[in-house]
Amino acid sequence: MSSRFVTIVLMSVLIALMLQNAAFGVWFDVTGSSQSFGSVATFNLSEQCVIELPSSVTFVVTNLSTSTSAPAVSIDISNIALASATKQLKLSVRANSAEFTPPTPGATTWEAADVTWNAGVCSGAEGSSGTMSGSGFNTVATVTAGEASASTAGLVFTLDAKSSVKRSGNHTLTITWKVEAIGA
Amino acid sequence: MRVATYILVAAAVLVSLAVVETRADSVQVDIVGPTFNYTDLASTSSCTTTLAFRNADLGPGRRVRISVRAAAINFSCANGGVNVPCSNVSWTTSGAVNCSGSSGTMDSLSYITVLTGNADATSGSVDVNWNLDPLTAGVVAYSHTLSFTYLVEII
Repeated sequence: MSSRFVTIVLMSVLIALMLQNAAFGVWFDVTGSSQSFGSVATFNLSEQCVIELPSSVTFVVTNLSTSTSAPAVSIDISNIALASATKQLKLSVRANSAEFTPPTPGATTWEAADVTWNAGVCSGAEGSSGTMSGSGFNTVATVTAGEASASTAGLVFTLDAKSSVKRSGNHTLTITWKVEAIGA
Repeated sequence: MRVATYILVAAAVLVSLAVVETRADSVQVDIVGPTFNYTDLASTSSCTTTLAFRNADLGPGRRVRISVRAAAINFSCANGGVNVPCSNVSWTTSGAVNCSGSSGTMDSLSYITVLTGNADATSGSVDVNWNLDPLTAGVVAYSHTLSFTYLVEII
């Protein structure tokens, strides 16, 4: 038997032993009839919630000289878990642009700031009235600390009167909702 | 006469030492605690660990048994919030080799068996499929820990 063959066999055995140990963790020696070992179970919970938001808000404008309210919408938030009992969940909204996109390019349309909303009727949260902005998020509701769920009903978005608008058709404004944990 | 008594006593002690000589059972165990990561607190969180023993040097007909017991009633969390009870932890077993696995629920009062080795088995393992129940409202999003004890017995 050559020394090279012996070396290969020994290395194979060594690798097999290393793999066997790698498949498990640390081995503890037990001698006698019984022995106990401390261990720890851990669970990690990420900050989270489940939220149902309106997919769109539609204003059916029939009279340009008066403001138009969209049908009331509801927002439901559940399974709220935050990093401390004092942190709060805040819901905000902003427009992705400074004004609506008119049906005809260049036509006069509404500005994002022409959209306002009321505080709604909240459960487990405090609603905030506000005005849409194309440059920053404005608060719609803030969930009370410690609440596992909350809802806002009767949230009404209103579009200002604007008699300078001359084109009928769909004027659209894309918005972004922000859900964030605030406080410490 | 007195010398003879001493000799007899010494001989008796030596004989008794020889008779009571016993061989200590020994085994090596690999024990790992479970880690659960929740992405949805409303769902059960699961993870799997392997419980194993090897190099068992046991008396005839003896076997290894491994049990667990929680050291506290609840998980603890540095950020407070609602406590999660240890009884929310349960397990099933699968893939037993040279042993049998037992399903159970974590208890802080008594040891619950997880693995029982076959008689005279020198090694064995079982996959422990741990489950942690859906969480209730008020559990803070943070790391929660539960100290528990593995009891290894030769029975």
